[in-house]
Amino acid sequence: MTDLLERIAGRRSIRSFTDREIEGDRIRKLIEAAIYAPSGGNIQAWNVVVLQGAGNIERIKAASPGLLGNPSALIIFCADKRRAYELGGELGRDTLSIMDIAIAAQNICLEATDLGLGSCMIRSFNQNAVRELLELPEAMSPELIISLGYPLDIPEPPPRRSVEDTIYYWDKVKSR
Amino acid sequence: MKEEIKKDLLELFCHMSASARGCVEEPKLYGPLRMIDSMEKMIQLLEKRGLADDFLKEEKEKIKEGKYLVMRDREAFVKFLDELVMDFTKKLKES
Repeated sequence: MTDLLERIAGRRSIRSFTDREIEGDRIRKLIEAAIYAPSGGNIQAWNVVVLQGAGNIERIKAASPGLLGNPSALIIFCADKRRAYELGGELGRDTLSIMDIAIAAQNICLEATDLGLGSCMIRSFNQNAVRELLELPEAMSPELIISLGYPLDIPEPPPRRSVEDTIYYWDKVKSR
Repeated sequence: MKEEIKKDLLELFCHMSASARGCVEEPKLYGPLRMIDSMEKMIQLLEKRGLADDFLKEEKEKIKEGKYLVMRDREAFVKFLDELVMDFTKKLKES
């Protein structure tokens, strides 16, 4: 069994893909990975839009400057703000729904890596424009796009901060 | 043909306006990234219609490779932009 940390470290943001279509059962598996992600208050206030048609993807790309390359599928995470507020109040609507999406998206990207797919998370897109193109209701807010495809080019890992550098303190308690 | 050009331009303008709006809040270096990304798209548009010469095709490939430097090496990205400016300046001087 491959070490989980190795898989996590092996994930890359892929922006160059082959023309090969992603099979429907694989897309389904990715969404399955997302639903097992932790959710604040178990509210699960998100839905996804899946796009695989080239025309639809091109339109979303036009409104999404951060969406680079030629993905064969997009999974667009939308926060259901109404559900998030009804079940989680302001914290649910403004914070937890976004955190839930981020965690679920990471599950998708890890599962994609495991399936030999490339993925990239994108937040540089115009939310109003994407909502308009997808004809989403007001309460459904597009928050994150994951572009997917079979990788053509896997980039070198970018520099990462060391573990030591990220620890602000570890069990440091002031003595009185 | 006319409709196709119109559609391509609409996509480009949508991209450019979304880029402009995004730059209000995005990291400073994303501004130059969005501009050269738009350049790449414009050259693609010309190429699609057989209007891009070898120089433009080469510059498009250069942009395609170099733009990702923004995510991993700031200095190299700026150097790449400097080179791009000189490429176009020299070409302009020759014309």
